[in-house]
Amino acid sequence: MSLVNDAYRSVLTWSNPAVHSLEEQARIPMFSKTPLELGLSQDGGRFIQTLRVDPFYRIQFPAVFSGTKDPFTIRNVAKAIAAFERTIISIGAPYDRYRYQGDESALSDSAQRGELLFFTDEGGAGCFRCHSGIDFADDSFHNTGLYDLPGLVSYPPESPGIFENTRRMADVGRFKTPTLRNIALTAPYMHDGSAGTLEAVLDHYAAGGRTGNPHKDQRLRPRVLTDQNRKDLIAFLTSLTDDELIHDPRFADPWPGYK
Amino acid sequence: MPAFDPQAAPADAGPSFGPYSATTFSTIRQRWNMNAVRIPLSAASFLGDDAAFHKLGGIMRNANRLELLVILAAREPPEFWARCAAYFKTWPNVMFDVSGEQPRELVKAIRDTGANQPILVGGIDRLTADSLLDAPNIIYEVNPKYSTTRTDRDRYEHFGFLASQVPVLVNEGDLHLDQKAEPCASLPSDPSEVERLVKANLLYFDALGISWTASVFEPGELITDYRKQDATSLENGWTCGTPAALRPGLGTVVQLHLWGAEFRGLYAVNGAGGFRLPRGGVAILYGPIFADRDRQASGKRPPEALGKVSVEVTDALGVSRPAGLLYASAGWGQANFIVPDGSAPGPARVTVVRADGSSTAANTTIVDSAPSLWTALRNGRGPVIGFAVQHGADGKPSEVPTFRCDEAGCRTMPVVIASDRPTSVRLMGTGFRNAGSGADVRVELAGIPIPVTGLGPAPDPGVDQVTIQIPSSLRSLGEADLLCSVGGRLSNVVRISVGSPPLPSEPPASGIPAAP
Repeated sequence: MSLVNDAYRSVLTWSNPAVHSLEEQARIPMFSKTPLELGLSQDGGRFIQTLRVDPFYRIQFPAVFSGTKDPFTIRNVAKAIAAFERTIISIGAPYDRYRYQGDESALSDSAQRGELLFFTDEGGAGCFRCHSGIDFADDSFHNTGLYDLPGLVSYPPESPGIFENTRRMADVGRFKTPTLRNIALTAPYMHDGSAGTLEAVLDHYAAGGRTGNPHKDQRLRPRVLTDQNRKDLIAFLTSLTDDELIHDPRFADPWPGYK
Repeated sequence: MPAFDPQAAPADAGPSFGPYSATTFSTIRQRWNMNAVRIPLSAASFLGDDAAFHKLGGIMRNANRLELLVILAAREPPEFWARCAAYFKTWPNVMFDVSGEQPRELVKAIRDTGANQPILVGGIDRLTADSLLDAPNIIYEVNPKYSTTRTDRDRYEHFGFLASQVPVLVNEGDLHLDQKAEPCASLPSDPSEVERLVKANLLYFDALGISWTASVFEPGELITDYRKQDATSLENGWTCGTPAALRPGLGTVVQLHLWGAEFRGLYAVNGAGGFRLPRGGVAILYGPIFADRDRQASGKRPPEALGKVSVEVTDALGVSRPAGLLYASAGWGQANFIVPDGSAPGPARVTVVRADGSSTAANTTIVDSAPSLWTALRNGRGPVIGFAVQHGADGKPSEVPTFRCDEAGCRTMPVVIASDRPTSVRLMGTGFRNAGSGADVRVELAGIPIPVTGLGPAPDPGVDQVTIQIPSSLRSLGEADLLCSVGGRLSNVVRISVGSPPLPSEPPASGIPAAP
């Protein structure tokens, strides 16, 4: 899931509605057991020691977190990561220039038609009902009918949506609406990467979801999308790619050549 | 219009609002801003007595009453035109559109009857000086091909050069996307390029004062269906000669041109679908609204912001005022608002302003009054929202709705007319309140003038009411068209039932709250 504009999000993970800050979110991959990600111990152990001796961080941490007894803590690591993430701001996509700066030439005819489809419910694709707002994300969770497995919990047990946290059956299969900024660059799609291309995503939503999951969001319904509509929607989605951000040296590898 | 068949059943009622219904004519005039309808006729259907002409005359009267000129169009023979012209020679708002191998004979056949209305001479592919007839009051009709009229130079060479000398009408601008052959085969494949091509034609016609007709007002051509009468679009794409689930058509291009609106832009209409917004009344913006979600205002005082969206009206004096909002939709949709009562009549600009700093504006015209009647279907057509004073068995009066909506749909409910006194009916709408005390307010039921006993604001914001008295002589009328005018300005055509069972119903419009 893209990190762009996460500074403005109140929902930050695919399936945990309790995480509201980037600092909280940063701790999840450090300590998560299922799935095991960074595998840190609760006090940070070897990782913190590595920071203390790293030629860059051994200067930067005390400078940034001055006035604290020990700047080398997991809490400060999370703060630093969150502060970095808040700088990943995307507002320079062609669509931004078209919609917010009045640059009519920034969007192709096809992308402009795609925009209309995206933002139209009756007779359109209705995507905006969930992918809403300036970042095309409604800070909410939806079941999009990806699975309808036999049994009480109709989603794969290792990834049942926010049901994992709430234990409410109505929450089975509900995952965060991701931002669509730079979406053309972030395949595969869906929370589990089960759609390899944007075309496959459109097929999924045109069918009203690939299954009739009983908890599927009521807004999903079959829609007629012509070949032209699909091309136009993809042109629109591609217009959300912020080349300026993608090529911003501040977000390039800070240690090129480092092994 | 589709071809008129005098043998067919009248299509003026029921759920589908047929092609020659008053409802459809009202839509063509008000929502589409057209000023004429062309009715193709089959000469063979008009043999025998004058019954077919009589039936046609009824339809033409309806069209004229709704401010539409009528063009009667047929191919030969001279005998048909002689009869047709003789029948309609005293009708001022009709034109005859003749086509055939011998146009001079056809013109002569009409003029010999004494008819002096304009005659359109059709069937001319390329207008030349030799095509001109030595006869007065002739409009020359041309049928240019899209494949050969791509530029203004092409247009000038084909017909534009004569437009300063004689009246010219360009006919048959349809793209015929349902056929493999021309003109579809010669069109660009990109919908926007075709839209621009058609738009360039229309702009050229306007610039040179050339009249034009565009496609046909029937499903799959200009409109999607008769029930909704929404414009067709090119934007879903097409494959020449291949049927499509979303039938492509010129509707949106034509409609936006007639509205003076931009593609994918914003436009404002009154409750009847027309383009003059009544100050103090409810109006509707369609286009990129982008409220944070669909929002409906509540309470007696409409807010100036709803869903992080506001609407500003700048009048002809340059004064900007915030408009009270009744509804704002997320995404592309609609915003229902009250035109500020203090707005000066004249050209105006309506702007949607969003919390993210973006805005979209539309040009419009503000007037003192533009009557609109609310309907149960919330689209300006069908059963009027009204309340009839009915007397129970105990003689006590109570107000009974003129419509009913349930799972089966919305329909008119008969207003039972007393045999000994007129029955009062309060009709709900908007755009009446500033008509002025001496305004000429008229209501017609089935074309019959009905007394108006009251007019003014209703309690809800922007909503007005007009009270009529239906005389007992109309107690067996059944379901009929009702039309209102204020100072000559027409409302939408609605349906009301007087003392008769309801007609088949139609599902209510979905998802569009608070629209008239």
